[in-house]
Amino acid sequence: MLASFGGVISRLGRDRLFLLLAPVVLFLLVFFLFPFVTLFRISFAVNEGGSGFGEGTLFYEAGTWTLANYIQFFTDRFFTDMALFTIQFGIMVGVIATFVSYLLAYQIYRSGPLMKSVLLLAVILPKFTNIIVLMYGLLVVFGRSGLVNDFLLWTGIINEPLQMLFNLFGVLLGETIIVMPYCVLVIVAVLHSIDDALLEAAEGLGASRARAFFEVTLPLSLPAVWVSLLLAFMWGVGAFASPYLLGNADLYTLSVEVDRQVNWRLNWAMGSTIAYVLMAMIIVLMYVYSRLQRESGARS
Amino acid sequence: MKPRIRVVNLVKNFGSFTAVDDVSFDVGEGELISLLGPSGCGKTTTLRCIGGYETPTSGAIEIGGERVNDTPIHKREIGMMFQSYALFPHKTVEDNVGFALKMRGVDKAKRKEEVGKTMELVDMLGFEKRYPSQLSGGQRQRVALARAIIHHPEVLLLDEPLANLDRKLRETMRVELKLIQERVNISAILVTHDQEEALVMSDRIAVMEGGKIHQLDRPADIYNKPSTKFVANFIGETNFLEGTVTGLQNGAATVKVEGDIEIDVHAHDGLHVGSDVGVTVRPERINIGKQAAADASNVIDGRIEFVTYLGSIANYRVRSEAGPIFQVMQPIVGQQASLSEGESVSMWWSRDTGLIVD
Repeated sequence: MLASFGGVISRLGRDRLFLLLAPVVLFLLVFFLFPFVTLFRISFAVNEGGSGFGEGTLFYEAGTWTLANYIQFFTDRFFTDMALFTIQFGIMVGVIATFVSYLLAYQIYRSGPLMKSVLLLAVILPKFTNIIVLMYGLLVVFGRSGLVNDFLLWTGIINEPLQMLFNLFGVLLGETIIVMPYCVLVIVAVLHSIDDALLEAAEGLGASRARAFFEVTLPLSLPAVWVSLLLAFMWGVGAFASPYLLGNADLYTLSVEVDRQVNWRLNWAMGSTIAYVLMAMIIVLMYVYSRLQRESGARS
Repeated sequence: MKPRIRVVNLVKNFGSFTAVDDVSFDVGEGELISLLGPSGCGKTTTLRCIGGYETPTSGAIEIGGERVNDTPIHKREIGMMFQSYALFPHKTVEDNVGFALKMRGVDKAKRKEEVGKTMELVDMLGFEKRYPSQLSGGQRQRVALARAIIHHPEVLLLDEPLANLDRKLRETMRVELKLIQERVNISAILVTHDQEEALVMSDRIAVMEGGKIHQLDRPADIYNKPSTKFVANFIGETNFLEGTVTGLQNGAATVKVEGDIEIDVHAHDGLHVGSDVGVTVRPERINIGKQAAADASNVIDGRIEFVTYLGSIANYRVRSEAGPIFQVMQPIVGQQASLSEGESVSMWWSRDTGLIVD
């Protein structure tokens, strides 16, 4: 395999090696860059209903360019409130998913080999399921007559079913479950990279297990916490399935609104505009985040 | 002298494997004892049992007169130095060294003062604000030592502390480590597979193999009076000959070894004619020359097969006429070894040089 690959390299010659990238580049051009640019164009199109694309979506045609969609987005409380909620939601998902994932990751890190495999499998298993199926699975467990409510009613802790879905709790629950596997895997990997001798040293110098955790394990696993926060935040900001299936109209994120604009109101222009604002928001927030992280990294 | 550390009949099994097999020894106040042996001999496991990192299967560990078998690691008054140093990479040198004091609730000002004193002791003043990654191997080693002794523990546990240094630095650090240990007068247990390190640093050496201690003695006695073949072979070079006792008189034994060579050695009690024994003769104790002295004993003639030139000493590989090969080591006085390959020579040594081992 390697030998034949080397053969290809020598036949192509060093300066024509880039040709090997051609299939990938072509794929990206057709399926990523083209729609990307087209949507960008559409976000500046005059929306006239009808097909939903707006009339005259040819790229160069004069008189079909407008900033109206963007102006509407930033002046309409409906959209700005939704943008604000989307960011808040991202932060909530980031914090909750990272906290819960850390607890689970630490448990996995401290477990014996067998338990470790079982827990890791349990973490990854939901990723084998379709996301919609996963969300409806939550209905079975957390719905008004779901397993949790049935159990709590049976024990007499509550007298009537708790409303756990179609509210903020439900949406956060769903999104956290979607993101958690990634966060757990990132944190587990970093925890395992910490030299055991450091913990032994801390204990030998008089630190209890708990003390050693806060003095050694936690600070050394902070990089994973940063990555997990960012990862979960980005998923939260881009959340679609959970708010759509487990939320209500007050809990819709920008992603849900994109779907509603495009598929329900046939307003491709507004849908594209929202998509681009969302993307710009994420880029700006990521930049701020990386600056903050670098500064805190420089301090320690 | 009251022992600071006592290890009594220590046994440690991992499943069906016995890593430490009934080991007992005491460490006196200010004494440094080495556990020396090849990898897998149980030396590290013994150390980890003392530190609390392993739970003994049976036997007792006493630190400062108290049985500590059930005392958790962080409540034992130990200072452990790891082979990898295990310095906290996210803490400054100052915070690393002061860690044990912080854990004991010593306030910041007092901590700073103690860190300063200890840093001075290990000759690292001025490095307080650095991070471990900004230090050289030797400097990290000093910091690790400072961190392990700042709280005046009952015992300093050293797990191959010099193994990660290059040869030159290792030789300097051996002496420095020993001097600092003597100055603070702390009892210490050193685990090493390096016999030179053990000889240089130890007050006593425990030579271990297969989970057992073969011999526990002062360095000179370990070298000069090895009690078993393993010890003789492990410490320094030796010529080892197996044979049978053929004569006994006036405290001397004659042993007939391979090639029917008869060797006179000092006899110990309990030896009788017909016993199968081993005789060890250190290569540097064998005289070699073109002609043996007239009154020499144990004269064996042979031919030099190979000369290893080592600068200050020459190592001769001599094939005796009777067959067995001998290693002979001689200091080089001039610039060249005085004998060369192919020469016919005589080897001889006094009766007290050879030693019978079990």
